[in-house]
Amino acid sequence: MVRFFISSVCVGFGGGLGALARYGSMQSLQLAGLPEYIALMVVNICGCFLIGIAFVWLEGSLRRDGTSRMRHLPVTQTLNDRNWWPDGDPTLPVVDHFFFALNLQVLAAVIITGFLGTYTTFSTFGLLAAQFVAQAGWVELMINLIGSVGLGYLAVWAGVFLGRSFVLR
Amino acid sequence: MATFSTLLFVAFGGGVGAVSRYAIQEIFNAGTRLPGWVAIFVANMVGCFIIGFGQIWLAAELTDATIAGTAVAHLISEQNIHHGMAALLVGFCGGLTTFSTFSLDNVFLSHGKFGQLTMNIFGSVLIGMVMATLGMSLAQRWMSV
Repeated sequence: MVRFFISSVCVGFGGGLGALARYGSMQSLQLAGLPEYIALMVVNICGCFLIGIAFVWLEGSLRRDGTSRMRHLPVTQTLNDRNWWPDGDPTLPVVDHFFFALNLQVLAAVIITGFLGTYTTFSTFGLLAAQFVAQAGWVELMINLIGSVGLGYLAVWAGVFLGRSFVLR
Repeated sequence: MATFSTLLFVAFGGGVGAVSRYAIQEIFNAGTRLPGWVAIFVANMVGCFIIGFGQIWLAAELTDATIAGTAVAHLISEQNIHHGMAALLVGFCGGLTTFSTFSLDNVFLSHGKFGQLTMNIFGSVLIGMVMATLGMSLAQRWMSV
């Protein structure tokens, strides 16, 4: 329960910053002349790229207890030989373990769940898609759906590959 | 026009929305055996409904405030509604829903779990659009009564 409250404070702090960053980015992109759905797409794809970097960095450098969700991905298979993936490291002292877990929780709460989770948004994306359906704007609808989902997916991969080079350094 | 108070409302709404999404995630982790993407899916769908409903509702309130009222009362209520829009639509709904974690989950699911990947992508996009439309039509019905 204490862990939940500490994480909540971190998530709320990161979320406030993320909402401000999204508001500022959307306003400036729309001032630059982009339509709203393109501006939102740019913001979402940037957030996806950043979450790829942040995730692989945090998981690779801080998570030491071998419970990572990334263990089964092909991207990490080649890394196992290079001795960076600290699965079940028996020499790790308990105190280090505790501090790594604490750092991981706080950083993941602020950066991933708070900031990047709030920086990107699904609700405006869904609302714009529903409005395009209502106005029969099929071209915009297709650009919005395929562009956001497809490029977001690719952006996460690009972030993971870039973040991997930080971790290997 | 971004006044300072608008920024405060955006940040406050974003913080509350992010904590709500985190609480939904924790409740799903602790209380159910569903895979992790289901919590994000539920948060996204709830946010889509709220933004559809809130957009129509606050736009109607704004129209009412511009038509009725004295000059000062009108200015105050118009300002309040703009703040409400910033806090609810930009802040809370934007914080409750997330696109980055959705894409990250897609990356994880694309390694071998293609059934769940298809469910996540098509379910989120289609049901999200349906929920936003449902929210808008409910608000229209409710405002016209």
